Formats: sequence, structure tokens, C-alpha cells
Amino acid sequence: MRKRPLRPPRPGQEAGTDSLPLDFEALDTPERIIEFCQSRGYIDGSSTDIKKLIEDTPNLEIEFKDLGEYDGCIKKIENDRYLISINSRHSPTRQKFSMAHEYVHFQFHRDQIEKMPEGEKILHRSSERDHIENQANRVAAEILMPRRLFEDRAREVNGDIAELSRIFEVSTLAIRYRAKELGFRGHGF
Amino acid sequence: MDSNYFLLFKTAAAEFRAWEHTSPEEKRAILPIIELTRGRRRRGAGADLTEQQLISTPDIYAFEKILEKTEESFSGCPRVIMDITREEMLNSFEINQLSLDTDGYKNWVTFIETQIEHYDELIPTILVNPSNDDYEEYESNLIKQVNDALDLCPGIAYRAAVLFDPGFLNDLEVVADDLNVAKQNGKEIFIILDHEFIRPGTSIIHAARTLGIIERLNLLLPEATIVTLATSFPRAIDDLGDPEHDVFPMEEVFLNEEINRALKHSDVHYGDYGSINPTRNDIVFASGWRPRIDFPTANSRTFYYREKRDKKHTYDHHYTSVAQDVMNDELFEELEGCWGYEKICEAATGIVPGKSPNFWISVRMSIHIHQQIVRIFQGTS
Repeated sequence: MRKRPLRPPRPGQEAGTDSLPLDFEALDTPERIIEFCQSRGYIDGSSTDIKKLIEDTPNLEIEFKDLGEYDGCIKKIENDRYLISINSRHSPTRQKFSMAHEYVHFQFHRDQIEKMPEGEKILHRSSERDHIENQANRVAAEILMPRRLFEDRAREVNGDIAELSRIFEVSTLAIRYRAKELGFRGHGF
Repeated sequence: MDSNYFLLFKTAAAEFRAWEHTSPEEKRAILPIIELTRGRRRRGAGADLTEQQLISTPDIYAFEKILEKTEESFSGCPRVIMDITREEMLNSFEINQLSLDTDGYKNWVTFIETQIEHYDELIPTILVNPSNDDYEEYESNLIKQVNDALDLCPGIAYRAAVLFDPGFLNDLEVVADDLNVAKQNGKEIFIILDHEFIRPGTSIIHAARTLGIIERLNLLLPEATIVTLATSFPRAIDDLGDPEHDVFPMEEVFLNEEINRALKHSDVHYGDYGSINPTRNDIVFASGWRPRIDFPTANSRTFYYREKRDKKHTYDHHYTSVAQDVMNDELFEELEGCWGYEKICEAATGIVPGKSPNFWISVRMSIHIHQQIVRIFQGTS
């Protein structure tokens, strides 16, 4: 039995029309974010359109600017409004992971954003000890590379990292990180 | 004490142990929601099968043992709500068979009929598992299930996965008339709004959304008993806190309080998972584990201490050490008559009553249950 039953649509009702759609505000677990992205079309094929998700999220804005050595940051700009800044000089794949990382801060760590530094290096630190940053990396990887999709695609391309990087539109570093999280061994990993 | 603390049990060993050590008086204050799961895998069963084949093959898991243990543990309760799992990881052939929608969910209703004699009052949940795209069949199976179950039982419950299943109101719209008539005829109708895991700091966000749901429920089922069910205990402690010590709020309490505050009355009942994360963690600790003890407090927080195990010392040594840390914390409280509290005290003296993480989950759950009953019935929060 499914947690979300496959109900037939009511006669005259369009399939997939839910009476209580999940909203952008109630996404505080990776599973809910992925479910939301899948049901709203933010995951198309394998790639997650994290930029569109951020742009569509109420009270969340995004800008791209030169952040020097940093990947991105998030800050509170008004009462309930937040701004994600992403380094405009980085590659689109690296930016994508940075966006997902900052988005996780918005959904999971909102009460701690004001204490966060204005600029952070994401995924490139040799060891990530802070549990908040660690969690943001882990969940960002989950959102951009959902477990099932990743496992299926990894099998299809026999663990070819460059190919997976193309499929998920993330860096090879992010692919390796996710593969390690999921316990993949061998092949390109 | 009337039972109005709704406590979800996923029939895991740690939960049974905590329940076993809950006092009879406390048990009377609790209305258990029993989520039947598949049980342990039989020794050697399905060794060559894939995960998917395991759950579609009969006799792989000892479901009958779960039923026996459930009956043994809960038969003395004035009332229990009985449900089956929706978690894929806890599913089995036997559970799948119970959830078939054929002939008005006949398997489920027949199963409930066999269970009724073991309990004073058994309240089944309404299962929703349409097998095809025929809307009329979906409707008629649901209505038949509700009416057949209500013929047997003093009430019925609907458990909605409010953060996973945005279409659940459709089910209630289908059966609302039957439920309202049943209520007028003296049957109990429970609507359990299951939020599963909610992250600390999010109660206001979730409450705002759930209030909208309650508003619609009140129009549909004005006499139903509404319950919020949630937990903020994480799957892994590192998801919320520092590795060795931290404290985090019981957001499930604040969610319920926030909703009742907004409604300006206390009609929405409180339910939780007994400080157990909804996703069962079946990690095999191949290289050992870091001893940790958690302590749920009266002011709706949970704090913990954990130590890295060194090779020079035993688990006993580390559990004694973390128990002492817990007892020395300013948030620690004396909880007379609480089994979990007593176990921490014993461990702190060097007599360690249990060395497995599973045992200490039971300890946490025991304290959590105790604190919730005090909070709900004596209003100490």
C-alpha cells in the first residue's frame, strides 16, 4: 500500500489534480522536496531545475555576482525574505550545486541563516565538520541526484562519471560525492 | 485518566520494550495507534531473492509474531487504533494482501473481525489502495469498507499522510456522509493528521498549512475527533545536532500547541511517534557504535550526550560516562516511577542495564511517554 495512493481522477477532473497541493513552505525533508519537484515538473528526466525552484519559491530571491573565492551565500533581506547569491564566475554545474546547497539552508536552517557567514565554499573543503554544512551538502546532492534516478542512470552508463555529470548537469565532483554517499564502488567511482 | 495521548507504534522491538515498562496508569492515558509491520525475516528465507521479490513472496517475514506480540502488549488497553504500514521498507506479501481493495477491502475487514476479540475496543483505519483507474470502483470499495468495518467496530479512523498525500481529502469526501451518519449513531470517528517527521523550527509553517486542512475537515466532518501526529526526532542525530552533545525542540508539541492556539480552543488532540523517527533505521553497526543517551525534558526539548568509543574501554564504560553527563546536565530531571529514568540512573552508577542502541531507544521512548502524559494531563509545559 502506498503512502500516496494512486487514486483514479474523479469524472470530469484532470488527472493529478490534488485537493491539497503541497506548497513551497512545507518542504523540510529531502523526500518532500524531491516529491514536490517531481510532481511540479522541476525534475525533468534526470536533471533538477533548482534555479527555477528557487525563483518560484515565495520569499526567496536569487542573484548571480562575483563572490571572489566563495561559491555562494544566503542572507535575510527583510522580515521573511531571503536572498541567495551565487558566484557568477563559476561554471553552471558548480553553480547548480551551490544553489541547491543554499536552498537547503533556506528550507532546513532558516532560523540560523543570520548567524551564517556571508560567503561559503561548498563541497570543496577537504573535511566538512559542521553538521549544518554537511547536511546542506548531503541534501543538495539528494535533490540534484535522487537515489533511484542516480542508481538507475549509474547502472545504465556503467558508472561513467563524465556521462553522469552530463545527465544530471552537475560537476564530476558532485557525482563522486553522491556516489560515495550511496556506497557505490568500482567503475569510475 | 481518559486516553487522549495518541501514540504511534511501528511494532519495533524498542517500542515494545518501552511499552512493556510503561505503568498501567500511564497506559490508560494512551490511545495507541498500532502500525502493523512485517516482522523479522525468517532465518534463511528468500536468501536468493531481490528486495522487491522478498516483499512479494509469502512467508518471508514473521508477520504472525508481530500479531502475537501486539496482542500480548496491547490487549489490556481500553481502546486501540489498528493500521498497517505504508512504508515500503516495512512491507511484505502478507501486508500487501491485507491492503487489497477487492470487494470493499474484504481482506482487511475480515482480518479486523479476527482481531476484535483480543481488544476491548478495536478501531480500524480506513485503507486506501485503489488497484485501477475506475473511479466508481474506488468509491464503492471505500464506502463498503467503511460500512462493513463500522458494523463490526465502535469507530473508525482515517490516517492522512498530510505532507505526502495531497489528494487525501478526496477519500474523505467520498465517505463523509457515511461517517457523519455513523457519528450520529454513536460511533467514534478519528482523523489523524500524520505529519511524520517535521524539522525543529518549522511548527509555525506546518501549523499554517494544517489549519487550512482542519478548516476543510470541520466542514466535511464537523463531529470527528482530529489528531495531529508528528515527530521531530531525526533519523540520525547528526542531522540536527553536534556529534557529542546538543539539544533540540520537540516540534510535534509546538505544532499541536500552535494549531490549538490558532483555533482558540483545545479540540485538536495531540499525537506523536514516541520520539522514534518514522523511517526505521536498520543500520548494521559493522564497526561498532558511539554510545549515546537521550533525555526528553518536561519543557519539550530533547538533549543527548554521545561519546566516541575508544579501544581501551568497553561499552559499559562509555554508557556509564554518558549517563553521568546526562545526569549532570542542568536540564536533567528526576522522574519518579519512570523506567527510562531509572535505567539512566543505574547506568551512571556503573551498572549498565543495556549496551545496544536499541535498548537506549526504549529508554528515551519511556521518558518521552512519561513527559507527554505529565504535560497533557497536568499541563506542566
